[in-house]
Amino acid sequence: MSVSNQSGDGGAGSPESSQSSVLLWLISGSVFFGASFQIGTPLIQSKYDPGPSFISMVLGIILLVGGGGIWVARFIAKKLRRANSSNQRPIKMIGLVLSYIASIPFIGFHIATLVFGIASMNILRVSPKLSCIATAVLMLVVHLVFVEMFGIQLPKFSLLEYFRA
Amino acid sequence: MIELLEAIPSLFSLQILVPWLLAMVFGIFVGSTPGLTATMAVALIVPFSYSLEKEAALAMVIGVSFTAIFAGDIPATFLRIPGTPASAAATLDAHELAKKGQGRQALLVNLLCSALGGVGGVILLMYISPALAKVAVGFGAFDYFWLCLLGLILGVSVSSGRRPTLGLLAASLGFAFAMIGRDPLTNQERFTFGLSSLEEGVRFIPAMIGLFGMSEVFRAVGNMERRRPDRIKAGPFRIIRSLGLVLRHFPTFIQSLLTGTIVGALPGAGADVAAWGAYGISEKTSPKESGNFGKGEWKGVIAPTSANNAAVASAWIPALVFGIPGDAVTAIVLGVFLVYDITPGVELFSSGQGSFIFAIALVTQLLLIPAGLIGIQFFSQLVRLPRGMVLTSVVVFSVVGAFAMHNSMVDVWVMLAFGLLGLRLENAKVPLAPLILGMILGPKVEVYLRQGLIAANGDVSEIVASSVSMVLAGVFILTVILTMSRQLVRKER
Repeated sequence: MSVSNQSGDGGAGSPESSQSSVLLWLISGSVFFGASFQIGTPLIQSKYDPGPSFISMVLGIILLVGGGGIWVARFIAKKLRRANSSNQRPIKMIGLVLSYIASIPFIGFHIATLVFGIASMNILRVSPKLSCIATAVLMLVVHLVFVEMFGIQLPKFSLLEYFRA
Repeated sequence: MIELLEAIPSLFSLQILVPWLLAMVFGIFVGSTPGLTATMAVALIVPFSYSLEKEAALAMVIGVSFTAIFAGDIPATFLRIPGTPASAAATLDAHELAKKGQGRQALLVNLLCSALGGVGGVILLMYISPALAKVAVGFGAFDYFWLCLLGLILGVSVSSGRRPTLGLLAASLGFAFAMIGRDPLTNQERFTFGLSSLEEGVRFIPAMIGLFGMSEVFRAVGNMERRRPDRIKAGPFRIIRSLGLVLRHFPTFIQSLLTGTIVGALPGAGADVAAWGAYGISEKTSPKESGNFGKGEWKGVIAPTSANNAAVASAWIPALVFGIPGDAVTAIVLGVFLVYDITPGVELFSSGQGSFIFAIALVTQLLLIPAGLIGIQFFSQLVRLPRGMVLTSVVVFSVVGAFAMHNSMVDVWVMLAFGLLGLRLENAKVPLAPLILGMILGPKVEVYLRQGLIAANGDVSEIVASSVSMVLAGVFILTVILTMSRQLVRKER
């Protein structure tokens, strides 16, 4: 958990990561504050109810003020700098997970998992033979638990469905 | 009490014990699977219970309802994926202990606290049901508003450590995410941007799996290249030492038991609020160890795990006395009671059925220990597998877990989005726990505030009109002042 590696920067985040953090607060604050004006007033709303947009406006302001405050504090301290990461492995993994999820509706859960399992373990330095065995076991466990036991219909290979039809 | 002692021996027959224990192992299994919740575990066991005798059926359903909360702590400890929302508070310290090679020890302490917390909760349930139920029913909307706001600020204060400002922002962001979808009071769409898939809102379970599970996978993958990865070790399995740890922190246990019981008795508050509240109170009342919270502090394991199981027991107070279920799990159990002609109310206690239910609930806590040991041992073997295999399995289970809730790929995308958000926030040293806390408690804060204002005809002064509200508001303000002053003192140093 992040709380485990806290340095004492007094609550404004560490310098190496402050820019992305500040942008996150400012962007999310702007989106929620701006979009709260798009929320209409329902006909059934009580005249004493502050309405569905009230809290979101407050939250938007908190995020904007908080993000702005951190930015100003960092700017004054001239600590603002871009987070740098030369580590490629998480990027590969994120790409792989992204492709995996995107492919599930088209090639089905089982085929997508087979490809993902072997590729992911390969990236994570598991031997190819062990990757194949582990992926097969993983798929079997998922199938038994979710499909057989709980009757959850995992996405199927849509082309197969097409041919069946 | 005599009726209770008379009821216990009747439970020890094979026809009851076998399905009971099997149901509890099932509860452990479901609760420890990411994406499958305690509510789902109870709901799934109900059809099996119909084919059994009334006693066995009740034992099964009650058994699962108490087991699944502990089970949620198992993946929370080893994989940092809370199996249930009530396990999120325990994740903070238990996972840190697992990183230090004390995963099994942490779970053993957790198991003992869960069982003892459950026993304490059931005993308190028996004795103080009527009085507490009256207090809980007397709570108004503003009282609940302050209670939820206090739970939120306590959780933010504790889980943010030295960064309360960032914690507050993370909680606000979580709160804002929870507002996506339909307004609970007027059904007005908010932040859906015309997308029908967002009308249902951002579902909590996929968000939690992504924030804690997926972000941990991405972070662990990064660590594999940069330095020695955070390898989770199951560690030793010492029952006597665990018992010693619980006894050493007995005041924390009692304090959390009482917190859990009181919070659980309030309809709608639930085990998650109880766990966070107990965690926060434990940190505030332990000035010597407060700096260790979130870094593998035993009190950080004992407090939430004692409180969440005690809350499960006390959630039955309004359910058994007034027929008002405190949470979804209790609602299902109450439904099963009605199937077997067990009607909540005074008659329940005068007819002796109450004693029978208490007896089942009490023995369930004892059976939780063998069932929990099976779960701990099973998971301990899993974490010995190569890291790459475990991480890949976590991704696959996270994807299936997110999908399984509503058979929706949108939930899977939500899970991934929260995973990436979690990674970004962790890189920025922003604590994740307040974000999830904002998602859980935020909507309750909003609903109770607006309901209270409507009921008070817009009179804002009514917000602290009742004595309960005044006390809760006072504690809330005190917590804010203490948290901010602590930050200022640290800055000056």
